[in-house]
Amino acid sequence: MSAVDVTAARLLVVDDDPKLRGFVQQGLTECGMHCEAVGSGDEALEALENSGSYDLLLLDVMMPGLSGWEFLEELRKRRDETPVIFLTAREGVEERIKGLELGADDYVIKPFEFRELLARIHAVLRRHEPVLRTGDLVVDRLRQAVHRAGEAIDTTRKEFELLCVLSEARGATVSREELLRLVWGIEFEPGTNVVEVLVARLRRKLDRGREPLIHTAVGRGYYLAEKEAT
Amino acid sequence: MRWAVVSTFLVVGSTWALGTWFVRASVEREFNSLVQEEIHEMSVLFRTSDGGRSDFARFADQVRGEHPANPMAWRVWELETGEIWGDFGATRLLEEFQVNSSPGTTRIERSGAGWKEERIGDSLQAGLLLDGKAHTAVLAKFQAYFAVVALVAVVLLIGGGALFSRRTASLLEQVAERARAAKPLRESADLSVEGAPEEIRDVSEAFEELLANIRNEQARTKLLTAGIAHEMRSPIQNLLGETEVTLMRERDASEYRRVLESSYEELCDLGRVIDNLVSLCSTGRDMDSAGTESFDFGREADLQLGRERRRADRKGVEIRMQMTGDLLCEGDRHALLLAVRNLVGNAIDWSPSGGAVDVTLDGRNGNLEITVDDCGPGVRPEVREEILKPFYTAPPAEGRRAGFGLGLALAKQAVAAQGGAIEVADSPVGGARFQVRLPRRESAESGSVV
Repeated sequence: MSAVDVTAARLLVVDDDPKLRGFVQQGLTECGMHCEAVGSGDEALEALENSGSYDLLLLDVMMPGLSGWEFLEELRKRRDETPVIFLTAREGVEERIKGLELGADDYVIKPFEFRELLARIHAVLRRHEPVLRTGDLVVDRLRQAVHRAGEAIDTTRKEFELLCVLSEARGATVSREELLRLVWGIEFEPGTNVVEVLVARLRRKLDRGREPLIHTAVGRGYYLAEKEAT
Repeated sequence: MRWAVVSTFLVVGSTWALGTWFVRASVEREFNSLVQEEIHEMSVLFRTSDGGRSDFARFADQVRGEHPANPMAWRVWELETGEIWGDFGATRLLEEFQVNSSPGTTRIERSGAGWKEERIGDSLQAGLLLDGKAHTAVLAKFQAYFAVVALVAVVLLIGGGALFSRRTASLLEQVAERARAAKPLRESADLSVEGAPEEIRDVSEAFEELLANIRNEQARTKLLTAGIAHEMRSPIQNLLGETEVTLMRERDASEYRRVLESSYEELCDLGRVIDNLVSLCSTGRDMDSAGTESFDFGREADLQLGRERRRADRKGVEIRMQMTGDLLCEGDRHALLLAVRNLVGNAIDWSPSGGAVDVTLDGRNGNLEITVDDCGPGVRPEVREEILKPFYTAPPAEGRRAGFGLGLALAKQAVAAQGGAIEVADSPVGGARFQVRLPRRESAESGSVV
């Protein structure tokens, strides 16, 4: 599993249900993100004041005290543009539209699949920070373009996705299983070397004649960094 | 009712009083001007004569002749002495109306008679008494006549009003009776009343609509309760049972893992059942386009078909997805994706292990076309309409429980709300084909393209 990295995305979960906080925090942390959790809108405001900024907020709508909506309104009133994904029970289309109009970026409906939440988190983060840089490598997630030292590099869809996953990990090691799941959507072990083949192709395109960026952590996986870790 | 009677009386009564007063006032005015005229004429005539008593008498007769209906009496005084110079005409009237012996002192208070004094000639003062008996009689007759008419009008108004309101009340009571007798769960109640005016018919119709709404609500509630009882009990039962039994003793990691995986499957099912039930029973689906969401159907299909993909994996069924064209859409994102997930889930359930389910999303034409093909047994033409209704249960696919048949019903409802349609046909790969045509924007008319 990938190690937690301080440059990884910082998320805040706001929900009054402790079990939900539990599994979301655990799941996101195990996916290489840094995730904090609070139980109410007021605590969330406090967390924002103390810990500074987050890359994304996961907001429950139905909470006692300061409701999700009120919190979101307050956030936008303070000109805080932190992206928000809200968690709602199916109250009807109007409720969801209201949330989007209040300034949320996306939503999931309870009961939701963790994987769906993860996919939406990735999508929102991608929209807000489309360009990832590692050394002289520029990966533009929105335009699906790759440059190294200003030179455009042609990649297939799968190659691009693998590169995105490695870039998003910001130097943390991504295991083979993770890559299989994230890039190919495969849960089980296919028994082929599809990952190795793709990594090799990517290395040829990216690293040939230049400082290598894609490194192997033997027995653990791959990581993208300027320098090889000791 | 009392109110109506009192106010009718008041209105008619005051009209009558006003009328009579007005008539009386104008009659009196006419009378007084007549008296004035006569004296004046006498004065003119007398001036042409010698001024003797016989002249006066002659003129009095002349004037009298012009107004045969009104008896006249004259009393003339000498101005200097105030002595009576002479009485002329119907002199008995002078006593009857108590004309004074001195000039300028007589006041006639009785209505129906006029008295005026004026100087005639150089030295005389004449007073004319005009008896308006005839006029008074006419007036009295008129008053009586008017009173009778007024009374008749009052009776008619009150009587008519009473009759009308009684009839209305009885019609409304009939409507109420039928409303009470109607059992909301039966077929639509007929509250119409024979020969009723439009307003009553309106009331009947409004009641019928109300009852129809109540019937709908009750049907939904019944569906929800039944759905919860049936569709949710089973998965929860299994979760409870498996977990309870597993916890009865220590087991090894692989056993726990197996139970967890089995529980996960049930929970995914449960999630979809809840989604289907809530969607099916949600009230007030408003077609307001202010409540729609823009989304990419293809992207959402990618995001949300995870559960179905995993079910296919477990069963050994392949899902092949193909997307072409612009798949942007405006509508209820959740309901529409739920519809597609239900169709795909169904296709997986009916596909044999090793088979494939083809899902195509085509946005090249104006509409969005979503096709789900499976290689199962297909759907017989006779039941193609039925399967889209709630409560329909075909014999269950192998290894699956018999459901309530909510998934397809939900799909139909969600698609219809968008203004689209679902068609069931034969798939070219041998099984069933479910084809959905969706307008890109929510519209009330089915099948219209925006």
